[in-house]
Amino acid sequence: MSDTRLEDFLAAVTDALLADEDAERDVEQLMKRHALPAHDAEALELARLIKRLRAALVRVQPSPYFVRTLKHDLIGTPQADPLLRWRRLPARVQLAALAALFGGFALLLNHRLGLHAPRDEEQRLSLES
Amino acid sequence: MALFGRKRHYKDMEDAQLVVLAAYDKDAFGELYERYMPRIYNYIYYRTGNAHDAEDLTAKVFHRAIGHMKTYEEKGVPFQAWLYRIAHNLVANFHRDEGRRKIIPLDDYVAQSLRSEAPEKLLEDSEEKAALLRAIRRLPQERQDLLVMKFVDNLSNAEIGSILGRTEGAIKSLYHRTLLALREEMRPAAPKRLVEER
Repeated sequence: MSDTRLEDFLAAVTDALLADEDAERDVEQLMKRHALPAHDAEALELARLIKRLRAALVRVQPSPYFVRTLKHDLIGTPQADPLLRWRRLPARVQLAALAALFGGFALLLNHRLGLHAPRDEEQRLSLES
Repeated sequence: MALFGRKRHYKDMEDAQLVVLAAYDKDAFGELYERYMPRIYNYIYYRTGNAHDAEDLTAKVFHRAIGHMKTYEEKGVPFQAWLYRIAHNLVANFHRDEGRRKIIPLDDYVAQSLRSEAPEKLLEDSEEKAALLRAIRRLPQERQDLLVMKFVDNLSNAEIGSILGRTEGAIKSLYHRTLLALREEMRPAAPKRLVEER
């Protein structure tokens, strides 16, 4: 049997198994596609070994503490996103901040548009009389 | 608005762009860290056999990388391959160190498998997995690298080739030979080597 054909078959079986857990049934089809005899013992045995490798070599997760600590060691405390910081504030603080912001804005608008002028005029007139 | 969109902006960037920024911008390096730390950790975990050494060496890889960002230039070696090469060298040094020539039994891996409900089938499965992992550890270093990169890190033959300095076709052949060697190692009469081949 040609080594290249077997190599291509093994690569295809591995890709299929890594992409889909239930790809076992595709092994026979892949053997056909790579022109390998249906009961090729070597190909079948290596396909079984690939399946075992897939089951044994599973991804492990590093501990979240390690991930966080190492990142902090490398780049320091990241500057928090202002939007994120705003969201983390308690609701009453958010309300107070919004009220102060709108209050300040209204005051500024009031002065800018000269809405205080008539009252000043009234005061001047009352003083004159 | 740039402040609000900054993080998302990094996530959309290619490695090459981030690498240029990372020489001066720690947040750009942070994005590269998020992308590759889990892969590098997994590679080292399977090459050393325990979480403690995996954490220690993973930290060394990224400290070394951040220390060399200003001098790093992508000369045909993508950033990912560069990181794996640092990891590969550190793992090789780790195994060369005095007193670490024995095969590590992957105790924590087996224990982790047994911690679940452990019916007999599960016990059998985890013993079989442990035997397979021990057989992998008896393979030459490059072949172990290939299996971990392919099965754990899901890298393509082209990506593995760029890390190991071989062509895609050469990786395909190496994979075939690795499977044949592993099959021999799994046979009951296979010689039990205590020192890794290099």
